[in-house]
Amino acid sequence: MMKQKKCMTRNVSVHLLTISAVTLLLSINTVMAAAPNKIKMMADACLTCHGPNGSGSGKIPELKGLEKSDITESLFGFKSGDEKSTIMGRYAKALSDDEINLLAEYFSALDK
Amino acid sequence: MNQIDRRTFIKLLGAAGIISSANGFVFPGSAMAKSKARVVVVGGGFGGATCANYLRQYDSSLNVTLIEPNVQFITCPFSNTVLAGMKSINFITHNYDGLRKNHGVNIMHDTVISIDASAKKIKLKSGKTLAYDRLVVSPGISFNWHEIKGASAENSKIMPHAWKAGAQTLLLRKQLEAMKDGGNVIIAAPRKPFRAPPALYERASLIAHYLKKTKPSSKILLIDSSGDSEELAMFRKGWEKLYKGMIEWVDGSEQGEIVSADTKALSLTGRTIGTLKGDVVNLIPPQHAGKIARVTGLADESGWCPVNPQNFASTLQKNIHVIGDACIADPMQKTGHSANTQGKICAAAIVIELNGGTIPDVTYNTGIYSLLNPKYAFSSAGVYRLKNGKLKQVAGGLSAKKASRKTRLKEARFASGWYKGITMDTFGKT
Repeated sequence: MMKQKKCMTRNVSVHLLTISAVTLLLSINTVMAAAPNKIKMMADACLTCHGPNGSGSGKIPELKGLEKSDITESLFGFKSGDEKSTIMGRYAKALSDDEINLLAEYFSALDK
Repeated sequence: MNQIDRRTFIKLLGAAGIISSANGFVFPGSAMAKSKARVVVVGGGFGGATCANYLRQYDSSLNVTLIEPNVQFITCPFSNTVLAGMKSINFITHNYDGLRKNHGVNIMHDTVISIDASAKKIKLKSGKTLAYDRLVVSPGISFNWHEIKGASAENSKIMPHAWKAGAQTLLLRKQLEAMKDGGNVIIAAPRKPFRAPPALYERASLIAHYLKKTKPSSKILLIDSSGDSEELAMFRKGWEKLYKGMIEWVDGSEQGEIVSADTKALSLTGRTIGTLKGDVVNLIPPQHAGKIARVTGLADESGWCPVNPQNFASTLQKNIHVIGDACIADPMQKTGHSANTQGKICAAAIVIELNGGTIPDVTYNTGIYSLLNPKYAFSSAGVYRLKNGKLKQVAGGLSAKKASRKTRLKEARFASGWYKGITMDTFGKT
């Protein structure tokens, strides 16, 4: 990243800068600071088991970049008990329908 | 084509909503840039490390310093696998490089000797003084030796507790390795509250796993002051299946807890259970909040620290938050997962309070996996929400009582995934 920034200090066009700034943003999803709000806080709770960025951890599945409908289907299934699970049913029962939708939106929006 | 220099570039980045941090990482402008406050976090375990990490994740303008005497942290979770010879001590050893390099947390390897809550300053063993706007104290537990006659930090070199992982874990492992076949191992637990109660049953299970393979005539005596429970019943069923006749559970409730220890005779005495002699004695003493919390007026007469569970602010001292095992966050159990959750919620609450805003209604999650052997595990989950200022359980519970070996194996694999996930999340690894 430092290398990228150094390059940019030389003569570059504003046009190129815009593209690079976007690339820079997309390339860092590990150390992004984001103000805490309800859904950010609830999504961060998932990372304890699912790992940084929801990238998955060992046999615990990845969440980031999944289709929103796949996440909602699983969570509603865990909540109702229609979808079998070892532990997720016990967590999902605490979530409201709105929270499930928001969590699905959050994780599906993260880059795979 | 406009030519631009570095300064203009940085200005433009700012305008584009990107700001540069001191450690070379770049943070999007959604981060709150208003506060620039100094937050000091004391204690680099699951609570403190997570809190320092997430303070920086939630507000990159914060100056966050983590004070921890040790350069490495050895986790209690999975330390029972070290006792059983399944994993090495290196597997459960972590450092603070991720917090420093990936999240811009200042790490100071030092010890806090006093806190001046009115001046908002702390004094360190090195002689330095640090000023703070908010202080987070996450000191874990310390042992209440004087409740057991003959028990002391010194005597724990003969009767290890191994309830803080590290040298004690290795000592107990060494004793188990040196024990002859047919020997008796005593595991004696204190009355609640203490750190990670289910870990006691996992310990008995994994020691039995080791003994069954290497010293099958040996026995384990588990003195348990918590009495019977649904969780214990599940373990006992598992023990019956996996370690028939090897683990004897002794009901130490109803004042049965250990009151004296004789390190020469390797025996323990309880009020109602008499004197029991072992070849290896794992004496886990009664516990209370880490010393710094108790000497600075953060603990009440129970020895633990009362907090407002919405932001983990001490109810006894202003501008100080207490998280992890040291705080009273009932009904959340004192576990690494609870501390990690509290670290995140406390970090969010501090950022919101410093910048203005309302702390949202969120779930407080906790979970603990217990291995009965490398391929057989249960879990206990808890989800809580704030209701009228108190935490109330809204979901959770134990694994299914009846389950196939395949399900228990799946949970054992999830236990490993959980460990990897929580340590990466806590210590800021990527």
